[in-house]
Amino acid sequence: MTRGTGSLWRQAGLLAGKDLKVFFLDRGALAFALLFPFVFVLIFSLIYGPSYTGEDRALTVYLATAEGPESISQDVIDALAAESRLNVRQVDPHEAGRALAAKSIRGYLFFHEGFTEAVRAGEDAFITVYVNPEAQTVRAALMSLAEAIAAEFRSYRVTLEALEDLLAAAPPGVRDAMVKALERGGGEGDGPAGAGGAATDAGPVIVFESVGDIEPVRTVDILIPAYLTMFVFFALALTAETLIAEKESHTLERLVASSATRGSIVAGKIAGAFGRGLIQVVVFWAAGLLIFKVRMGGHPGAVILVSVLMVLAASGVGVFLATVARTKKGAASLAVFISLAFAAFGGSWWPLFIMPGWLQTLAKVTPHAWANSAFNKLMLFGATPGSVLPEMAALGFFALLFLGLAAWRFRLD
Amino acid sequence: MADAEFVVVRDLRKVFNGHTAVDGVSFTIERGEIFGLLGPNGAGKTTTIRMMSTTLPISAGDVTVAGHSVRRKPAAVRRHIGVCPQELALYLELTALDNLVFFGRMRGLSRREAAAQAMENLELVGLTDRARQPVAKFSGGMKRRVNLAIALMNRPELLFLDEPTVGVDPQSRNHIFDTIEGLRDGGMTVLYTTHYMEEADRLCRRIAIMDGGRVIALDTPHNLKARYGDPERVTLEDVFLRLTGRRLRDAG
Ligand SMILES: Nc1ncnc2c1ncn2[C@@H]1O[C@H](COP(=O)(O)OP(=O)(O)O)[C@@H](O)[C@H]1O
Ligand SMILES: [Mg+2]
Repeated sequence: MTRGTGSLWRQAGLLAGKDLKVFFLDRGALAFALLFPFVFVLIFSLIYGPSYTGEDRALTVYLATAEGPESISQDVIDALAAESRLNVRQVDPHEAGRALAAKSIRGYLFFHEGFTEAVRAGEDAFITVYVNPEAQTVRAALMSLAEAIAAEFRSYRVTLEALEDLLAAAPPGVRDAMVKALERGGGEGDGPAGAGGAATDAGPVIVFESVGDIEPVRTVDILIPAYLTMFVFFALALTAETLIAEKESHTLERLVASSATRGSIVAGKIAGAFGRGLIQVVVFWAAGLLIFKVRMGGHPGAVILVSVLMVLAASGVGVFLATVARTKKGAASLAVFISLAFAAFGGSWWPLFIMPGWLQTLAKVTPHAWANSAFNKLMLFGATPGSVLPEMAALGFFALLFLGLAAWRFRLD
Repeated sequence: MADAEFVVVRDLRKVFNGHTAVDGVSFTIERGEIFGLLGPNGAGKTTTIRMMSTTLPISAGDVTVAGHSVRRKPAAVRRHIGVCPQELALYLELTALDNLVFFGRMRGLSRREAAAQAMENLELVGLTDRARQPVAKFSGGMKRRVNLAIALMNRPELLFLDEPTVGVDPQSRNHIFDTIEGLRDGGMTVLYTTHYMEEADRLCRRIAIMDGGRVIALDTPHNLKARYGDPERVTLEDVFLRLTGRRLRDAG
C-alpha cells in the first residue's frame, strides 16, 4: 500500500497515453486534426491547378562570373555544368544583364570580381541572384542554389580549420607524414568534402551531389507541407484545452492527490501533444505520398526531421498557451487566432517565396516560416539537408523556448 | 503513532485573499472509524478536506496522517489516502474501467493489478455491467459511484469523502452507504462530509459540526442529541439547527 508510484517518466507516459486515447475517442478532434486539412489541400489544388505557376518546361540555370578561367567561381560553374541532372548554361555577365532586361531570361546567378581571393582568404565572398520579380520559382531556385553553394564553402572552411588545428597540435614527425598523405590524396581528386566531387588544383573541392532536379513546382508539393504545418499548430488548441480541461473537470486535483507531480504533469501534456503531432505527420506524409503523389525531394529523412522539429515547437506553444489562458474557451480562441495568424504570415496559405522580401523577413518570427522554408527548399528546389540547418536550428530554438516557458509558467492551482 | 491519533488536525487555517475560510480547526480521527464533518454551505468543510488531502496549501497549522506531516511530507501522505472530491473528477470520454485503471496506475499499480482492482471496485459500487461504457453516458448517481470507485484504487487506509451523495437518487445513495460501511468493516478510516444529518447519524461514530470555519461541536451523534433532550426523540437536524441557527446559507 505504501509502494512508490514510479518515476516522473512513467507518470508522464501514462498521462500522455490517456490523452491520446481521449483524442482517438473524440471524432470531432480526429476530423479536425487529420481529415479537415485534406479538404483544404483538395480545394486549393483545384484552384491552383496541378502546377503552381503553370511552367511546364524544365528550368535552365544561368550562371555568370566576373572572374577569369583560373578562378574558383569558374570551377563552381564547371562542376555544376558537369552535373547531368541540372540544365546549366554559362553566360557573359553583360549579356546576362541585357537578356534579363529584355526578359529573354528570367534570372541568373552572378559571382563577383574577387570571389576567389575572398574564399582563399576566408573572407566574405559574394554571389548575387538577379531575377525578374515576377519569376517566383526562378528566384526561389536560384536562391536555394546560391545558399547550397555557400553552405558547401562554409563546411569546407570548417573542415580546413579543423585540419589546421589538428596539424598544429601534432608532433613534427606525424605532421610531416600527414601533410604528405594529404597532398597525395588531393592529387588523386579526393577532397575533404567526400565523394563525388570534381577536384581542382588550386581551389576548394565542391560537391553538388544533392542538388536535385529543378522542375516546375507542383501544387501538392507546396500544399501538403504547408497544411501539415498549419494543422499541427491548429491542433495546439486541443493541447491547450486538454490541460485546462484537467483543471475545469477537477481531475488535475485528483492527479495531484494520486501522487502526480508538477513535472510529470507538464511532461505528460507535452508528450501527449507531441504524440498527437507525430500522428498528424505520419497521416499527412502517408496520404501525401500515396494519394497525392507528393515528391519529398532527394532527402525525405530531412523532410521528416523538419516535420518532427516543427511538431516539437507546436507542442511547446500548445502547453504554453494553456498556462496563459484561464478557460477552455479562452485557450481555444487564443490558439485559433495564433495558428491562423502564424499560418497566413508564415507561408502556409501562400508560398513564402512569392511574398515581398520585407514580409519574408518579418515572417521569420513565426515557426511556420522556418518550417515552410525548409520544406520548400528540400521538396521543390533540391536543397541538401545541410542548407536547411538554419531552419532546423530555428525550429529547435522555438521548441526549447516554448517548452521552457511552459514548464516555468505551469501552476497546479 | 497510536491508532487513536491516526489523523491529527492541529489548529488548521486557510485564508483566501484576506477571507478566513478555515479558522483554527483541530480534531483527531481514530484508525477504522467513520468521522463526520458536518456544516452548512460555506462552513469550510471542503477547504479543510483539500488541505488534509495535500491539494490545497495550508495557511497555518498542520495535519498528520499515519505520522506524516502534510506540510513536510505530502508525498508520504498521498500514499495513504484516497480522495473522492465534492465535484466529479472523471474523464467523461473514457469508460468507467479506463478511468479506474488510469488513476490506479498513476498511484503505482501495474496494468494487471490496476485492471483487477478496478473490476473489484466497480463491483463494490454496483457498476460491473457498465464497466466498458463511457462515463459520459452515465446518470448523475452512477457518475458519483465512479467518482467513489476511483478513490478506492490502490486501497487507501484513509478515505476522504466530500459530499458523495449530493444529487444522487435514493438507490445510488443506499448503495453508497452500504459500500462505505463495508469499507469501514474492512478496516478503512473514513472522513465523511455531508449536510444531510440523517446520513451522518446512520454512518458516523463521531461528528464535528463546523460553522464559519470553526468546529462548534464534536461528539458522538448520541451525545450530541442528548445535549438537547431525549436522544431517542431529538434528531441530529434539531441539534444542527440549534447550533448553526436558521439563517439561509448559499455560499460554498
Ligand atoms: N478557492 C477559493 N478561493 C476563495 N474562496 C474560497 C475558495 N474555496 C472556498 N472559498 C470560500 O471558503 C469558504 C468555505 O468554503 P468551502 O470549504 O467550500 O465550504 P463547504 O465545503 O463547507 O461548503 C466559503 O466562503 C467559500 O466561498
Ligand atoms: Mg463543500
